[in-house]
Amino acid sequence: MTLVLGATLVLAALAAAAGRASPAFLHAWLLAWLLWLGVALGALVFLCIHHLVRGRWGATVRPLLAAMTRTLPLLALLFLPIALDLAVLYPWTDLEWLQAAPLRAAKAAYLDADFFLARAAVILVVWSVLALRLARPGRRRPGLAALALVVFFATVTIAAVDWILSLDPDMSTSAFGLALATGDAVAGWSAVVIAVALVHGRSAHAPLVVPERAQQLGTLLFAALMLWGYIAFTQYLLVWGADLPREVGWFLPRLHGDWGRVAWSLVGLHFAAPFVLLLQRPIKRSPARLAAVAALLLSMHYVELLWLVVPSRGLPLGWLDLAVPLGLGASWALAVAVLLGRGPLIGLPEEDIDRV
Amino acid sequence: MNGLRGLLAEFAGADDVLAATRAARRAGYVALEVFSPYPVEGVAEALGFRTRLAWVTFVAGLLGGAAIFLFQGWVHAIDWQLDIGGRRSFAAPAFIVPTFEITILAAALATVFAMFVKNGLPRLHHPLFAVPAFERASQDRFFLFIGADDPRFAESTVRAFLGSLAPLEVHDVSR
Repeated sequence: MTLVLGATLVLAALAAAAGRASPAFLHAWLLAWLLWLGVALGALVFLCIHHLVRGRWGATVRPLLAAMTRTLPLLALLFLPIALDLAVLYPWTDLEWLQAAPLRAAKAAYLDADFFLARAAVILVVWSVLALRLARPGRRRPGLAALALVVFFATVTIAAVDWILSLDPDMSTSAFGLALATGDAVAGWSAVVIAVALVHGRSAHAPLVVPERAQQLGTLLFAALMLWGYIAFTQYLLVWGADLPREVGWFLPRLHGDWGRVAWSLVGLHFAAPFVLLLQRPIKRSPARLAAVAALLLSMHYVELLWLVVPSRGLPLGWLDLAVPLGLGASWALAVAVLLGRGPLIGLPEEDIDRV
Repeated sequence: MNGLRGLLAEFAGADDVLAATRAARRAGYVALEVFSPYPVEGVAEALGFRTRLAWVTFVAGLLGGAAIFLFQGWVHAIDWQLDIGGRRSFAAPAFIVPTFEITILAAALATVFAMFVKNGLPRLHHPLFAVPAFERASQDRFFLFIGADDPRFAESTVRAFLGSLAPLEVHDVSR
């Protein structure tokens, strides 16, 4: 644990130094951090659901869910490079720019650097504490899990608005946090499914996952996908219906030109194709095939993040936007592996949460 | 013997009936049915149960969704055009939510009614109901039924076979 913590601090320091030297790196770091933070948050959400409703699916993936959830405090530390150079990322740190338009000026009290950092600190600490308590082995904690879900869905709106939407402060939409959180749930569960397919049947600590159980994991992926699709589309529909210039203005660059093609790829590859694939039992009942669909969903979740972030920043897409998330992802997977340690990788039904 | 519709073995637990079903399949019986108070995982596979109901669900969902989408298009773009905030009359984004809902409704209704038809419902009586113990199939007992229409059915051998599976009791089901 000390080793992982030390490695995380070194990584944060290196990223902060690189971010100071290169704005492109810092922008890529924000994307990478949002991606893997989202994956860990998705794991936290499913861990809460298992604490609340139990079920054999949860016993199977509990060790993986717990290890992924326990990376949240580490990811919280990796916010430091962003916190140290806010001005590079967020245009509202420039007071003159903020006062130039009346709508932005009205948001000046909220878009204050110190207030922003305080909000981020509180949110990340609260998430980390909840994550560590829920990831502990042992008894079921339905009360704490319910509290954690309420707190998470209340705070994720603030987090999403602060960290992503404030890149373009003219936009406001109340569904943004929920749309991001459900997308994170898809990404987190996809990571779990991929991990299951990689390790199951490989050792005594990772028994084979039977088709019935794989089907349950696939059904949950399908459910998370449906929820994300519904909320993400509803957000668009409400903006389309109201047709207010300040909201439509945020969507316009994302629906025309190259980003418009990306938007259609989200419809096709983040929703329609996985939807049709996950309807099929032969795919859901095979961990390997299910993991292929999950890999598509995890990749498309990152494409969605690019689609949300890049049109709002001054910088075009660069190779760092691919390299940094991959690098952070490898480090994150390594941290998960270390946190799993020598314990079980895949749980057995008789090891369900109440019987430990 | 002529009056027999089949034999019914009664078990106390889900695992017992599952093991019995697998044994009956291994013994070559095909006219099998399992009755249990709740769905027992693995029984459908043990019975070799196959159904095309999923296709009914899928096709009905597609047809229902397409119908309501096109219907909305016809109403708004052809039959009764209204200028709503200057948007084009074929307002596809606005049609999506009803399309989603009706897809689910059509798929669900078609599945339920196709299931009724395939199961021969509605039906007021079945010979199984004449067995008094069968009432507990909806409470706490698990039953394996071997029908007399099975090509390998011979009363004495089937009775001995079911007896060898350690049931609580073997009941006669008359026509």
